Amino acid sequence: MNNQALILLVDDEPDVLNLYQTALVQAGFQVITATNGADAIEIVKQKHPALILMDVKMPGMDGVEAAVKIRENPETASSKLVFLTAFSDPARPEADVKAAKEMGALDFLKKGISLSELVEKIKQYLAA
Amino acid sequence: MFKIAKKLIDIILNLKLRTKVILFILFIIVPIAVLAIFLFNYLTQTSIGVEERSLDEIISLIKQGLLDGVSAKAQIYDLTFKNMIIDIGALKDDIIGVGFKGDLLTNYYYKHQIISDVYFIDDSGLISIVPSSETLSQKKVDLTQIKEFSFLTSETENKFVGRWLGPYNDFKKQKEIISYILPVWKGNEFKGIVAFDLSVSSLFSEIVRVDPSRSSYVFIIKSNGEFISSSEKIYDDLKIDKAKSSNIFDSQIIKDQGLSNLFTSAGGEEGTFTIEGKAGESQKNAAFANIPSFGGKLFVISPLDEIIQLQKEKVQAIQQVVRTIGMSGLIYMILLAVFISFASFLFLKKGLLGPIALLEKGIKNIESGNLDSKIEIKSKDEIGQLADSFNSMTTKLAVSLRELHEEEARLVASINSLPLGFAIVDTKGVFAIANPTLSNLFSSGSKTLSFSDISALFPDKIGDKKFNLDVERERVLRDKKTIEIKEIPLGDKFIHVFLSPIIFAHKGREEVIGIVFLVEDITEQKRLEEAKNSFVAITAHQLRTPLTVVRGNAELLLGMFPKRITDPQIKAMIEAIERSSVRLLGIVNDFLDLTAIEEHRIQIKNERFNFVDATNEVVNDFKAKAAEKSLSLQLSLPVELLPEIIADRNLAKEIIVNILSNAIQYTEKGGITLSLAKDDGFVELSIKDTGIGIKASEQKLLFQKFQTVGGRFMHSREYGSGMGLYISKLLAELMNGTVNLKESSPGVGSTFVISLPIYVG
Repeated sequence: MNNQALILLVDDEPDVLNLYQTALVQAGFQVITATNGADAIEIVKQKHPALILMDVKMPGMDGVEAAVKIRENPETASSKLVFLTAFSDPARPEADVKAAKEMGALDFLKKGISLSELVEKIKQYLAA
Repeated sequence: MFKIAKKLIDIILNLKLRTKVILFILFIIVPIAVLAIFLFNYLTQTSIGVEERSLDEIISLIKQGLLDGVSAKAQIYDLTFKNMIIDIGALKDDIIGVGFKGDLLTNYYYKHQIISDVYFIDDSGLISIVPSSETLSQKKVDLTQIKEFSFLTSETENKFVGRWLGPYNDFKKQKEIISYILPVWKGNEFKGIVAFDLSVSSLFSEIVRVDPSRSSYVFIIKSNGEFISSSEKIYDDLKIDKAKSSNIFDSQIIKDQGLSNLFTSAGGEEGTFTIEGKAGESQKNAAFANIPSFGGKLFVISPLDEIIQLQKEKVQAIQQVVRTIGMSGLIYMILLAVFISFASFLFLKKGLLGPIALLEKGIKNIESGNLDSKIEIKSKDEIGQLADSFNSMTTKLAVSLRELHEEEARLVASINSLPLGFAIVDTKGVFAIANPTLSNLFSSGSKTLSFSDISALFPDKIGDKKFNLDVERERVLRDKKTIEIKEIPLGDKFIHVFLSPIIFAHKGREEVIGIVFLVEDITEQKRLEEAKNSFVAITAHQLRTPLTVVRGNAELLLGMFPKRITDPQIKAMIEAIERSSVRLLGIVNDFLDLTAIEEHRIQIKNERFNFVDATNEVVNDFKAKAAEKSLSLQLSLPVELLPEIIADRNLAKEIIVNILSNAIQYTEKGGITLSLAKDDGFVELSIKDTGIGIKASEQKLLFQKFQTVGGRFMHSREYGSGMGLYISKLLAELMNGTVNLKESSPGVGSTFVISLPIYVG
């Protein structure tokens, strides 16, 4: 496991980006950020991050659309993707996971989980 | 007069039916009968001829002393002796008769006491004397002695006719007596003899007493021709010199006519001859009859013109009678018949047929729905009373019907103004009533909807279950139970359907006579709810992002940069920010959970698992927390092995977490005891704390949304949204279980019980 792994954070909220960037950098990851889907796709093409943490609800191209695009592009199709959203359905967490998996995502995390939990999860994804 | 008649008719009409019938019989049938009897009597009385009676009758009548001679008065004397045995009498006036047969003899002589005795000798020789004034006495006579009179050895075999005996002297009475005896037969059986004793002197004096002014007279001669009784007229008429002879054979007329042989014993038994009358007088007719046993002859001499006159009078009398009856009687009878017919007709029409026809008409009127019609029968009899009852019934019916119509109008108006679709469906699935809301709901335009039309509009599936409204309807009819089907999608609408049986209890039996079909359009409600839910969800989501930032940063500060925060005051402030943000996130999550549960968006897994293990896991998670507050936390298990339960394991644990975290939250001293037990299909988990307890008044509200205890929100979890118990209850119910407050008292503590169903294999 490489703690120096490059992680792409995609969120339209700068505060959220800052928070997670700080936490992940603190945890030893390299972090690049994007504020919309289109930017994210470009970064994935160029930098090939080890993991993409992507918000769903974003202005312009949203997370789901971006994810589909990344999957469609053979160059980026193998990228590891995890959704991180405020829109998870707490009553049906497995449904969210299922939806995420259909889009080629590893998981569907909901915002508000503790940062330490988040770091643990990321470590698991990278190891997978 | 007219008034009185009218009043009388009124009275008659008001009589009871029974009385009317009795009156009918009395005044119509009885008069007819009386009239008939009267007519019969009248006609028979005017009949001409000899009334004959049987001897038995005569004897019995004599014995009873009832013969009064009335009938004798109607007798017409037959001068020719023909067709009579012998009857003698005078014309016109009182008839003097000697009847050898019939009642004339007995009547007359008995009445005039010429007969000294009437007696009856039966075949045993017992003789009954039947005198008019003497009491009945009986004596025995020797029948053989009577036979000496030689009448029993009659010329006509055993049967013989009556004959005269005597004259002989009754020494006891010192009278010369002649007797007439009659044998009495009953069939061929000889029953005895009736004998009439006549005093000869009385008989003769009676004959002699004949008024000389009368033109007819009677006399008797002995067989030698001597007169036994006579009248001056005999000598005159028969031209006998009274001074020289009192013998009929000395009559110049007899001699002239050569009739002497008539009177000899060998001569005729009876006969007639004519006597030429003197100048100015008519011929006379002499009739005689033999009385062989007496040895004499009885004569009646009457003027021929009188006989002719008598015959004429007879005829005239008959004609008169016939005329009288024919004219006035017939007219009266016809009038009476007409009157009776008319009276009967009126009586029947007014008293019976008319009222019955009126009744019938009235009933037909009611039948055709004309309840205002009245039956006008004024009589007070049963029919009148019936009509009165009928009228009052009709009035009541009309009132009831109006009330019914009003009721119906109110009901229809109410039904029509209902915001709900309402219909009453009969047992065959046809609408009895359907309100406009229902038609609008299924917007058929002007087309009248049938139940099957509506049924066809329904989806054939609700959720995963097959659905058919008509099948549901039949189920309600069969099970007699209300069915409620919620949230049926219907095009762009959502509806809520009720099917309720209309049960009619009659004579102890329950019968479903139809169904109430209620349709509620819940589209708007549903939209509002959805809007509310999405509002809550969206709001919650929107809250979550900034809360994430707050919580995350606080966490970062505390966890990742602890060295930079040296000021304990600042550290405490950051800690407060972190706690609050965590709590806020919890509330947001509860809201989202609740929304999902309420919208039935939550999926419940059916898992078999050990409730003890699940409880243990939760208890272990809470050990640290309990220790922080120095509270004991114990799980006591029953000796027996508990069966597995069927529920959603995670949700079951969430319920335990909710209750247990509350218990720890509200307990400052003592601790929490959890215990598991089996109870009738369920495994029960009791969570007993020694906390602040809940007041009785607050217990009822405990499981409702946003409840507080003691002015504080009921917390679930450490952050508490006040929805924990409500969510727990909903979740338990979704898993066919319950969550209850078993007991609680302020200052002592509370016991909550979670029940979840045992798995049945």
